[in-house]
Amino acid sequence: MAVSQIDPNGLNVGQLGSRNMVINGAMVFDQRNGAAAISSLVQYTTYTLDRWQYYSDQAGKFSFQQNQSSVTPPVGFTKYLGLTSLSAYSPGTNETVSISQHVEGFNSAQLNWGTSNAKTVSLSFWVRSSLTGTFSGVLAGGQNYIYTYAISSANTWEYKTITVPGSTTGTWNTGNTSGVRVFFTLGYGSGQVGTANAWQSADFAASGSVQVVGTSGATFQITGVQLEVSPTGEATPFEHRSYGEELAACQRYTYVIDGPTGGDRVGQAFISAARTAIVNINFPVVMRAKPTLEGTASPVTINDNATADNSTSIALNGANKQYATLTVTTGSDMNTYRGAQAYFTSTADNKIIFKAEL
Amino acid sequence: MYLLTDSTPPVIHCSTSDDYIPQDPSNSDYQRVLDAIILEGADCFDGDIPADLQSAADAKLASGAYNANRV
Repeated sequence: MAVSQIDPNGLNVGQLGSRNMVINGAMVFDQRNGAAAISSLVQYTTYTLDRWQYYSDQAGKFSFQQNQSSVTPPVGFTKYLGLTSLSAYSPGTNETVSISQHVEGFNSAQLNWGTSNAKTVSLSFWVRSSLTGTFSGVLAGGQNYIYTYAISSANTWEYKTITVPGSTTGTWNTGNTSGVRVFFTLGYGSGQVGTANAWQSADFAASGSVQVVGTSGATFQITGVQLEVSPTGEATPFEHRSYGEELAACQRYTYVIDGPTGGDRVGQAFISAARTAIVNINFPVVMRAKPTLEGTASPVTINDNATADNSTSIALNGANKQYATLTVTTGSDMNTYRGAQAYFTSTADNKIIFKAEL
Repeated sequence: MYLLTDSTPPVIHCSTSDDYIPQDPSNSDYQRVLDAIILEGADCFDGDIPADLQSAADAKLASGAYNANRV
């Protein structure tokens, strides 16, 4: 019999495509670090792989890397986020340590959370740890829901699914700010313990759940993270979006001009004063907000077809969501009011990072 | 330590991270600048806090959104 209509309700999925509200859930993209090892994560503003924020009240508690320790990923995946605890640390009363992702309000608005029409979601992921026991995490926004999951075998990938009823109260952002935040808890103080499997106004972890930060050398690896509307309370298989589609999704929040070989072009420049060039940058996708120029940009060379000089400093001149200008200061005089090329000076590992993360 | 640059419009430079932060309420780093002004006052700024930033920080504190980017 021919199939004349596909009924999503009959398939037990919220929608057929773009189900996963988590971006880079398969941990494929690491624009900032290019899969390099980061030996010591700093405090709560640090991003690891694309979209995955390390959140901690203390610096230096974890190292991380894409595919850290070269473990074979679960079937169907090629990458994972790996973290290793650098000490046996006991968090202070109100301290927290976690890995998390903000889901933008535009993408979570479909959940109708904060209303009587709130939808149930399913959170699913593959996880592997050197520790066993009950772990916890949080869905946070207008309220906090502390979920738990068990890892029964050390150093073994396990697939977890968690069903969370929709939150009917609280204020949930539905614009370009943080809508829902997905936390995987790695450590917590006693003041952050709440009720498991329930919505509440705050708190971060279930009582007695595993503290990865508490064991020196403990590992935590994760991939295949999916948050989806779940009419039946069941998770669907991980939605592998195309490489280009997922990269573009990441670039709404972080865009890295990457110059791995030197001489790679950055943008077109205009020499506005003897030692000042304005470099134009067009973003490949509309960013979530006017972006920050993150950290120290790699040096660039300004070449006006008569003279060329290297930058001594690079600053953000201005930006909107689609376009930015950089102020590049050079060490010697250029020919003013000329157009010029801007390209990376060094022969390796060049990066200019624009960040509009949540 | 933050400093307002002389670009037009000015952006905020963080000397600790070497970040350059646009004055956009949707930018989470900008919100952290406001948090720092609320928490540390003039100590977090190189020179006087610009009046428009102080006003934005005051408004954030009054709205109860202070530290909203943290757990």
